[in-house]
Amino acid sequence: MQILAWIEQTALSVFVRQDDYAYFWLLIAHALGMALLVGGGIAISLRGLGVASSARLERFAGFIPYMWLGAALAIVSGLGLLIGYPAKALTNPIFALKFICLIGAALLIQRIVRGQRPPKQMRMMAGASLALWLAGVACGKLLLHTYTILMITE
Amino acid sequence: MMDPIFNPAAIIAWGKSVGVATLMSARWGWASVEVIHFIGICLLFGTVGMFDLRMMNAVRGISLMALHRLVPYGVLGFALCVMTGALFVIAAADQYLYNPAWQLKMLMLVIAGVNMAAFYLTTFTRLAALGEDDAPPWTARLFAAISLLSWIAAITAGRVITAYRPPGWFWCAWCQ
Repeated sequence: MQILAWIEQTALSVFVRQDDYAYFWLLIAHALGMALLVGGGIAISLRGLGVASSARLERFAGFIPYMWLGAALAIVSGLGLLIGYPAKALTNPIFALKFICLIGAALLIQRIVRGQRPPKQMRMMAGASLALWLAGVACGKLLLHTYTILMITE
Repeated sequence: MMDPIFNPAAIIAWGKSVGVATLMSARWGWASVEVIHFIGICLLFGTVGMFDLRMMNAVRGISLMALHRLVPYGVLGFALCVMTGALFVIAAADQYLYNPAWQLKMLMLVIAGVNMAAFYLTTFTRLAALGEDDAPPWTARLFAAISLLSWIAAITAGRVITAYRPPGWFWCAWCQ
């Protein structure tokens, strides 16, 4: 808890909270990054479930760099938001659940785009990754509505 | 000031009479609708965005017509966004109608819609013959770039809506 209080008092944390634009730029970048990452993940999951099956699954690997771009945007902006209100996220178990879902989904997508799986196994993996992307988004949105501590100091 | 087009008080009262207010003020009501709204955005941006990237030739190796089979899921996502978005507006009409970020978002949706209509009317059928690695014509690339940019702008404007708390009629260009 002491380290969270210390983060809250750093110049960067104060800037994120008090600047007129910083917080909203971070929110914008986070929304765009997540839409790019999760949107790509959902689309590849749908392909794994058999939608657009005339498009070869391995060729969807071409979209992975754009999903990485989204992930980078989301991570950098997410770190900014986290530095602004560290206690808000790090005292909420849903924050941990969000990462479990998103990392699990991303690992499944990496396996799905390699293709070459029995159809039944592919569908199971794609169904699981779709569910994890949706759950990850739900956890992220719920962070705004489920925190118990906004700040330790002030 | 008078608004000759919208009556936010009447919209909110109607929302109360049909249960929208009850849903949105329930403990997890607004939060759940936000979750569905963003899932809709991901569905739309993921599927249509992939189609746009392929059409801009930023990605190769997939035929456009095969990839187009994902677009109905983008339409599903858009439908989710319209339904959940309508719930926000009905529940707090004055906070959206007179909000410059929301107005800009609606303008971006109009641009995306006009661009899409023009694309399907003029260019879509001409792409049927393209193979997996063929580069689309420049008109198709232009439609794709406008589509991608307008959705990015719509998400950006949408994220800023909460930055504004319109005090009555301040951002109402059409009011007298």
